[in-house]
Amino acid sequence: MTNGNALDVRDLYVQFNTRAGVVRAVDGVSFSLKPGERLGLVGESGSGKSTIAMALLRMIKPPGVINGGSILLGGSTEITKVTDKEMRAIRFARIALIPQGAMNSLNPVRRIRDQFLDSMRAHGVKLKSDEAKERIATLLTSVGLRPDVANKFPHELSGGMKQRVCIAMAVSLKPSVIIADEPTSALDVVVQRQIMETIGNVQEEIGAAVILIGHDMGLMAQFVDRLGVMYGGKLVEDGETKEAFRSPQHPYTQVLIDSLPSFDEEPRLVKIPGQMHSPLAPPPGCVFHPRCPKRFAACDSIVPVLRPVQGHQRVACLLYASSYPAQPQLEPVS
Amino acid sequence: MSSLLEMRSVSKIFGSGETATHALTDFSHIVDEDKPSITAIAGESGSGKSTAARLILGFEKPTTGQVLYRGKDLQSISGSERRQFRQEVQAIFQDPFGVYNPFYRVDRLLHTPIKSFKLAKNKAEANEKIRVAMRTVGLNPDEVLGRYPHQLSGGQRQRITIARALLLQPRLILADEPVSMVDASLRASILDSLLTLNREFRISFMYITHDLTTAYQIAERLMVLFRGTLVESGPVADVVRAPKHPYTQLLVSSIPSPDPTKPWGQDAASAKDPAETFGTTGCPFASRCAHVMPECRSTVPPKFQVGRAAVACFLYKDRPLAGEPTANSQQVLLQTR
Amino acid sequence: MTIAAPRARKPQSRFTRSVAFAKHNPKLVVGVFLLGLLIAIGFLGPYLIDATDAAPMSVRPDQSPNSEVWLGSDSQGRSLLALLVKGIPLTLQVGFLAGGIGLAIGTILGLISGYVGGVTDTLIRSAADVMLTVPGLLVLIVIASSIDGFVQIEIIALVVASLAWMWPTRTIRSQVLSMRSRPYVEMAKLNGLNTFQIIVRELIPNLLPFLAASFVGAVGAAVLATIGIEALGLGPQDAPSLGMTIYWSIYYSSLLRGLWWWWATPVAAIVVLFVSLFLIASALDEIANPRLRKVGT
Repeated sequence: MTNGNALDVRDLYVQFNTRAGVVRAVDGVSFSLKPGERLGLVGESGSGKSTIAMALLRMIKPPGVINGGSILLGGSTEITKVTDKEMRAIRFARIALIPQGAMNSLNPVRRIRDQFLDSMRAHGVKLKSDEAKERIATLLTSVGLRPDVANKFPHELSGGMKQRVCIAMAVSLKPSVIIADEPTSALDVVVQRQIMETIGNVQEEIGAAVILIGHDMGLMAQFVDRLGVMYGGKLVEDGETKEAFRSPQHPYTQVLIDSLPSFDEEPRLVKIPGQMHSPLAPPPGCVFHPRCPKRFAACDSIVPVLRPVQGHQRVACLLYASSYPAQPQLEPVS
Repeated sequence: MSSLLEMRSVSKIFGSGETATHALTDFSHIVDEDKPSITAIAGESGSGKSTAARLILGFEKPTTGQVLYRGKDLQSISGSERRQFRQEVQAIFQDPFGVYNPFYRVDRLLHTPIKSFKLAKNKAEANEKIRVAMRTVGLNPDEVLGRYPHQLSGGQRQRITIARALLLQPRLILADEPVSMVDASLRASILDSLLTLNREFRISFMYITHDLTTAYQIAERLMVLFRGTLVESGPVADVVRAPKHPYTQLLVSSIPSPDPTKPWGQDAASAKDPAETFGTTGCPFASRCAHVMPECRSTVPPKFQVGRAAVACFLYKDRPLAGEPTANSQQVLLQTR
Repeated sequence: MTIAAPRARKPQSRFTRSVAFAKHNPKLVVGVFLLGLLIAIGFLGPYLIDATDAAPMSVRPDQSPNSEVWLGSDSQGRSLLALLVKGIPLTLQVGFLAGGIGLAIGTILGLISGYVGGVTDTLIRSAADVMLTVPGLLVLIVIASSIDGFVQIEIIALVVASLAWMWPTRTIRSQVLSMRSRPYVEMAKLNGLNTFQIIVRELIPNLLPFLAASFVGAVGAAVLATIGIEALGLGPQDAPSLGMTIYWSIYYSSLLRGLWWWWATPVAAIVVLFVSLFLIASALDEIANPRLRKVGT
């Protein structure tokens, strides 16, 4: 049954049972990730993109729960079904996370070297002390840091350096999938570029696939091979980056791209009308229809399904309903 | 031509001796009263832009130099003058949640300044003014009034703070990263509200940001700060399309272009981390600059006039010195939009 | 087709929200219930039984619990039940009084110290730090034993309060320090409010849950200190308080003589009191610090 994909996500549903009601944070999302591929998940807050990251690592805490779908890692491991002990072994070793504000996830009272050792030991990597030292030095140089950083404490490093340490830790066990959840949001634009280059370099070195989660379309354009647009817990568009920017299909993507200013043109402000619905009260039918400039009668009753429209681009929009096959069928593995 | 607010060679140093931080060095700027303007102050963390904001609002005292309100030093104005200052110079902050005291409903944010500055004769008039201000910024008062901050979205909360600023009918609003914590899809409409305030209500803005893109969308002039020093300033299109200072060039080329066919700038971006390379004499950018010359390390470059921009870089030492930022020269440099 | 509005619920009153919150906080409910039970015993008791039985020589001494004296009697002929009825209010009074005074002083000092800063802060803080190192119980014992003659319960309360203000000062000062640079305080400054107005209108309302939790803690500490003094025999000798009952039970060797009801009754009451105070403080702590709230609540 293996299809060579690094990751296959099928009909993933994650909901949060809060006191105020049920929030369907991830509402039936499916996508695949080839080895070495860079996928971007872009969306606003409340779109579900960070929840997906947590779900892939099985780090959803109550009141959240994964209540449907499958997450297949490397074609063989079903993440939703492994035991907690197995998951602990999988996390970081096969699927790793570079979290947002990663610089805050470093223990302030331990040296960098010790934090690497902790992580390696926790995953059963047994190395003699000078082998470990060498391994850490190699990891640090691979992210553009001097090996002597290993002896420092986190507060002695700048934000960018700390983020690089986190990248090095994320790839230390050579995972096949790296999830980068807004890795540069707290960083300046110059450092951001260096960090993204670093992530790209280490990714290529170990042949891992990357899922970059964020809301900066410019960053997506420059970094990812494929772009997935999330809105209201649903994946509304999924396609190759160049195609997505050249001819966005979903109205939301169109507005997002239209509103990006370019310094070569006169400045203009393109407003997206309305605002995101409350997560407790999603609109009926298409989740975007209240704000959609191209909505029509059927949009408030029929839920569009993510379907291929041209080439490999997939869109969830009734505007393209005529290109749907007559029979509803399971998502083709792309 | 009178100036509403003037910063004259303001420097701010935190700490002392070896560990002194030069947050802002020799910063000068004039906000003209008669012609409402939008000036963006852009820089990264550590650039001094937040310090400049706090100095303008009077939350910090300058170490050297003066902050003048209508010609008088902020530190020595009388109580009633200070109240007038507080009404004429307002602020919009970055965090749309933190400005609300979580104990009270959002209405209080709007009623307090009315009471404090006696802007209405009675409750009815106050309510009417509030409703008008909210509609101006695109809010439906009935949807928003009477709620607690956590019941509203970030965009709504930020709009309320703009409505509040509008209520006071200020002459200058300092907007400190007003959209950086707001969702991308709402930014344009909030920036549009700021533009409305500028055009219809003739309010000047000082727009502080790290995001050159939003600065490009609404500002007329752009001032780029690096480690407390003004490195380049001029009409926003000039600075952004043809940056002259090596740091501005680095900054602009590091912005990821939302066009996959235009890759990130290929210039020699120094791989050295900013924190490691910090010189204490001469140009603050010297240790990272690809065009560094001996004089850069020893002397602080003055501002040279290059086209319509002022650039603090010895690369342009054969150009004339940029004049003092008098209100007159500001008029000349302003680009009409 | 209308644009979906954000959750269009009528904004609930503070009362409705509090009630809903209470439902999700069993600790608070149980704690308040237990405390209420004790208060009921204390204040309704005299109407249900004859409270004068708390005086010596009221009933036959040394009885184990039976149908006449429900909780037994002590060697001096006091009914334990009557002692409970009279003792609990006394203990609670001291606790609330001393705890309240200590907290009030601590709050004022903490607010000033935290917000104003500078020399004032250094002075207040140093004073609190020095006093904190003083061993409270020892001081109380010295003071209590050096007061000639009759020691009133109010004196005990004042003495306890004088040593109870330091901890609130420190903790409230920390809270104020973290609140003072919040954007809404700066906003208040922009609105032209002065220092006093900012302290009263911006800081205190947000301190209320914290103050409530600290109050409960202060009450507990005050009660403990008082019972300690009394159990050592330094309290008002003829007061029917819980601490004195314990003192007498030790004096008359109730443990060795098998008169378990004598020491068990006050101890049980004290345990219930502290459990209730702890539960309430813990629940209030969660309100004050949302991060402590259990997930799902």
